[in-house]
Amino acid sequence: MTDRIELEVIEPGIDQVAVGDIAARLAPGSDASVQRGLWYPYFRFDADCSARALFGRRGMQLNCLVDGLTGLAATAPSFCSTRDAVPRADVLPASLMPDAALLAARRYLATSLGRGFRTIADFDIRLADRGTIHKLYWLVAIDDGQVLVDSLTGGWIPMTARAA
Amino acid sequence: MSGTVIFFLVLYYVVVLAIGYWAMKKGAGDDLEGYLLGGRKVGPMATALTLQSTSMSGYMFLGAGGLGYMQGYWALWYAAGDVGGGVLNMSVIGRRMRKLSQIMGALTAIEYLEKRYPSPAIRLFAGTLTVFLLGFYALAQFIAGGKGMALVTGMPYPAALAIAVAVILVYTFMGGYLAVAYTDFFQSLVMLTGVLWIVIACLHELGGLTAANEALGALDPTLLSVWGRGLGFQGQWGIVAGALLIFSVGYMGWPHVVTRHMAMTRPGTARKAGMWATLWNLLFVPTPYLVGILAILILPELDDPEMAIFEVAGALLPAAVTGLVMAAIMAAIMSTADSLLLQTGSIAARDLYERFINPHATEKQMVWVSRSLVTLIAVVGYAVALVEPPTVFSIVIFATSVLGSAFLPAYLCAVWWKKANTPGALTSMVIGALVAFTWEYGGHVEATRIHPMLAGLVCSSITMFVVSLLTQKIAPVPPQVLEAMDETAEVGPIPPAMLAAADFSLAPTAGAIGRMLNAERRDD
Repeated sequence: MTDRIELEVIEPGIDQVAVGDIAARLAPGSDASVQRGLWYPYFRFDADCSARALFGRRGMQLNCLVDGLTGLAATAPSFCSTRDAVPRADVLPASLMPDAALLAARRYLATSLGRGFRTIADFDIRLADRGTIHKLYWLVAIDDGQVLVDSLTGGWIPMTARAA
Repeated sequence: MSGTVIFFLVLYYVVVLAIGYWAMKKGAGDDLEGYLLGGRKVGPMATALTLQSTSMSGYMFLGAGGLGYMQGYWALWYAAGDVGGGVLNMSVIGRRMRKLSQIMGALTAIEYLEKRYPSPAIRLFAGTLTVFLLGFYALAQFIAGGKGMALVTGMPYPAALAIAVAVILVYTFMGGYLAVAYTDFFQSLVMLTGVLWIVIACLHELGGLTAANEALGALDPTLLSVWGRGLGFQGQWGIVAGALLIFSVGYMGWPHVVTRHMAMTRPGTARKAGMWATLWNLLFVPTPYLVGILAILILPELDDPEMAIFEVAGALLPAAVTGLVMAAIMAAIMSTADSLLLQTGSIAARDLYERFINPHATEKQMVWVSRSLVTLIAVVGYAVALVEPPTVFSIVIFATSVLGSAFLPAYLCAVWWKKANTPGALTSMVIGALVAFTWEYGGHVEATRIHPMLAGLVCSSITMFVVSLLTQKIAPVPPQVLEAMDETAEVGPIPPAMLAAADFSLAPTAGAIGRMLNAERRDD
């Protein structure tokens, strides 16, 4: 019996059947097969950002996810999360410390807001730590190559070497 | 200028403010925030036009027109390089830089250099040089804004300059909230419409291009040649090559331009955006030069050739259209100035202050550093622009020559040459900057007939290759950098159609998963 672990996960929008269909449609005539799913760790923060603007105070709420392995931060569209039991062997462990994740999130948001709004402003950034969350990625073999598919957005990228 | 011109100028800004207000209200939805924070949900055409409106500076309306007025068709050498520069830049380093900067976790173009060529000296030199040159570049925008404001309002130049600098500062500190995708898009369309309207009015006035060329030939046949007025540049291929290089490959060495690659997501979108940008460039870039050339016939006694486009617009267009065109020109100047100042402040705060002076700096302290530096640039810039203002053309060409010479080999080799190491990059940056600087101010241009950009670029490229090869043993490229470059270079054997639509933002995740699974496999 598969050893399972209960985790907070982002609800996948694309299941194994759908990812197979996508691969077949994108690479018609190729030999595509879904190899496995992997649960990737992120530190999740709710960011409440605001600053004074010409038409009054401007605020926005954002989801900020910090990659639990590389420490890279990014904003994310809204998503639904749930607790789910997933195979332990498919869960990647986070190697980043929570303090470092908090710092990365703050730095990323400050830089991105300044760059995006094209202004030098003192943004008020309040971060609420929502713990770790896992997101499912699919590894799909296509001919001799391999692509990684995001189960939420359907975006993909080729793997640089055969990973499994 | 008449009251009608000022009325339509004000009306233009009211429309821009209204679009900004509407965008902010609409921005409660995802579109605006998505654009601001990740470039999502904005199509290729809007992306391209938004970028073009911010990258085309006061140089296009003052420097380009002035050069055309002084040198005739020779000026188009600069336009020829500029038309395809953006696309060349995107295709040569775009995709690889996006992946490499993601994998190495760099947020700014200067941080990226330090991560690729690990040494604090790289960041210190690159950051300091960029702050100086971008500040200098901003000076050109101040002068352009001041001259434009003086002409439109009829105010004395010192007062007009003070207002222009103050407006640019306020715009940078606050007004940027309005200069988001929608207003940039609108401004780019008005800029394009404005310059096309002026050139059509010029051609109508002169009876068409053939008649204008005949009149130019009658006035001075050398104005029609590719060697400049009086054949002043005859046979000077070193100058011509520099003029072509500066706005073509030169873009690859500008930290404030290559930053854009770091925000690019899908190559498919970038490709379409590149096509739109090229179309826009084809229509826009040569036009100010051409208006400057035609202004020789329309206004032959201009005191300041850099005012050719403003003066021609005032002389030929209806007052309402002149107001709109003037407003578009001022908007272009301001949006470029605020981008330059923002980059300068950001580099000073993040890449210099936080990195070398106060590693635990709060966001408040960094904002203070940014704002102080930008204010200092404005004050010094005002003084220089008031006492002895150089031409917009000379400032822009100097700043871009030094930036391109110093940074082009470093950015290019960062993704294409695995042997490019830290000593090679550092000496290349120092030599490139020094040669371009001394070439310009040491009188070498007149002596050698070689453009500072060409001289600087050749020297910095040779230095990069020679020093990197000589120091491979004492300063090898670190394994983690080589590994990141390998991941960047390899795209995997998948169908090209899939590759074109790949999502580069997943590169770090794919890299981390690949490394972890390979480690698991080795353990097994």
